[in-house]
Amino acid sequence: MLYFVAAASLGAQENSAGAGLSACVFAVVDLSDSGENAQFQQIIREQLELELSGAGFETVPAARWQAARDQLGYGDLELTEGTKAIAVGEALDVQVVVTGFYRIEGGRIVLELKAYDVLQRAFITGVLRTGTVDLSMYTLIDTAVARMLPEIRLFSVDPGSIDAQQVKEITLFSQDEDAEVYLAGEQFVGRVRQGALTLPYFPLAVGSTIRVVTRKDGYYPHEQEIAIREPRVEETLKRLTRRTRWATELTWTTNQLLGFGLAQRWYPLPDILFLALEHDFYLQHGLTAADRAVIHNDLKLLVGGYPFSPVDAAFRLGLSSGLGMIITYFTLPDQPVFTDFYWSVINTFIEWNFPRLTIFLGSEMKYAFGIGKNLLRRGIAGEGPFVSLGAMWKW
Amino acid sequence: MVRRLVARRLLPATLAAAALLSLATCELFRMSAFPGFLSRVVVARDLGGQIDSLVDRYGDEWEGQVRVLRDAGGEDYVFVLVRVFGSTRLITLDSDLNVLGTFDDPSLGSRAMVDASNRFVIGKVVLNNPPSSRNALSAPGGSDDPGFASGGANFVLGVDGGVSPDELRYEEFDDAWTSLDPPESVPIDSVIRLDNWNLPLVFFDPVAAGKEVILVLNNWASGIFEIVFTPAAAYESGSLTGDVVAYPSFEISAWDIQDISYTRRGIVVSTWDRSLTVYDFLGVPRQGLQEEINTRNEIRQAYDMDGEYFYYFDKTERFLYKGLTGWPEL
Repeated sequence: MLYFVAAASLGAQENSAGAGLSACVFAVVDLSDSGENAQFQQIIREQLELELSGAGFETVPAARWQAARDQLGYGDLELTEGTKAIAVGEALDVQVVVTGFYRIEGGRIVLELKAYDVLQRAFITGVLRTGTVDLSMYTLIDTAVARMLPEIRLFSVDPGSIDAQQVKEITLFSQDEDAEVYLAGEQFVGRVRQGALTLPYFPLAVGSTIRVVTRKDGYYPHEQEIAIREPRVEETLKRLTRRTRWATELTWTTNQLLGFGLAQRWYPLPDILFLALEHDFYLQHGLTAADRAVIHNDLKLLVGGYPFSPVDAAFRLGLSSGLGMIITYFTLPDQPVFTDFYWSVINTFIEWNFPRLTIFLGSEMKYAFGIGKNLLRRGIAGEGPFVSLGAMWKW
Repeated sequence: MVRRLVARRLLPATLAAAALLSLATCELFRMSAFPGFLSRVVVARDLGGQIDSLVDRYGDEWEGQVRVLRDAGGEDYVFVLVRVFGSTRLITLDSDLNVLGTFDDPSLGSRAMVDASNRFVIGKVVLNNPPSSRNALSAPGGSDDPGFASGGANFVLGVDGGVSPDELRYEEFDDAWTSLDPPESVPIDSVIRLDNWNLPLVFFDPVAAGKEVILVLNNWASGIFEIVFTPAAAYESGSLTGDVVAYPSFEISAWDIQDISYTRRGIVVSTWDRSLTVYDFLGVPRQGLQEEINTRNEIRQAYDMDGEYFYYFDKTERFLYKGLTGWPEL
């Protein structure tokens, strides 16, 4: 089995023993309009091969990778695409492929180099440099190659030779299928498949820690430190928090317990700022034979947010405010309809967040304007705040 | 696994909510920011069309009262009296709160009675039955002096404060409002509260044998109301005796009483803080019949004689509501 390490990027101890590891440096394609700068292709390639050899990699001769390239029907330019470069690398049975291009125009050079992990079919690292076309260009090439090397300093290790105090295997469990996992915040190490990801080998000492960042489209990235306490580590990643754009609420509120509320939230700033349109429908009934239901329809438009809570916190405190009106009518024919306009002065709520569901407890204070044919008159409505228990489905 | 996780975390919350619910009484479900009486309303009528033109320029500086009178045929009618700086308007309605008439007359007053000819007397104005038109007659006495009709005669009552102790004065009239006898007077209370009485209200209940005339006497110096049950026959025969408070009576001591109404289910006393208490005829508050009228509006109250319906006049919004009291009979 082949294991890899990105020791430098993790700040762990370096190991320069690269026995048995091979790398292939493809042509660094000249994308300049004129062909007069083609000589830099060779310079850059040789520099890369030199550095890789120095790091213990066995590099593939040009004739061999060109044959494999031709066999797959690719040209040099196509090898600047990661998938094709990896395909040639697989054909060559190498562990790392390096590709890139440069363009010289108006006395300036743009150089981009990329390295891929063939086994993991993953992007390891890339570097983009610009500079002037003069002697300093050689320094630019050197620094670009030097920038990449620490991250592709990979080597094969026989698991049986791993020191007892070194990590043998790190397996991460996650409920976020297809989430991308990055080490040290930037080095991609794989995707979660079927609830787990086994990391490539890292020569880490037991007792150290690593920092893992999990990313997935539509979710907030999460950074997590994992303590390495034994040679085989199994760790569950915290479930990622979905970016909420829309949410539907169902609420149950004091002073209006014979009914319910429905609200639709829209977050122009996901999980930070929302607009909500709410409709509370409830009956007023004295629960005696003398009573007949009176119907209240409470419509309100609120703007709210979470000024004090991070987006991925399990418990979040929020505030909102807005305007509303309560339309009241009797269940008897030919009776008047009353309308109470009000200011929803301040709503405070605390949310308990699950991946798609939120349970919340909120308190609302209404100030009635007392205009038109109304029932509440001007002033604070009710003898105390309206307290709501609710559930919210987010998407 | 996800479902299990959610279920494990939601279960305690659900159980806690269920426990809270099980503790909740019906009172919680009745709570509302709106006036509690709304759910017992059977009819609501906007009287703005009848009142606005008279009171709009005076803001809240006007008075509204409501009374319910039952005619000899057992039909109830509602009378809303509006007073504002020298103008007085009466709106008459049937028991379904259909407006029957609107009358402007300075001689309208707080006296409200059914006279011996089954007509209605409001102040000094005599209205026909139904009260959609007025009669040419004018009732004697002050427009706020209460009265009643019994045995084919009309009686007008008042307090004679010119003597000490104060006396209850009553005068008998025939059905055409011609005086039959000189006024009679008897002391109200010659022992404890000699003076400072007035008589704002009199109720007459022909069914309450022996205590048909219910006097609401107010001693304004001491802030007490004396509810006195007197027999109509004593007025008819001129045999009413003093002290008046020696008749079956009870006392209510409160400075903020707004309305007092007689019903066969008890005496309803409402206060300006928008609460009401129903007393039995011995003066004991009836259990469970203390209510809060949950509103900031000024509500004036009246009840039908049976105590089955309330009539609330929301002076602020100029609405008249009729609703079921839901009170058990005595």
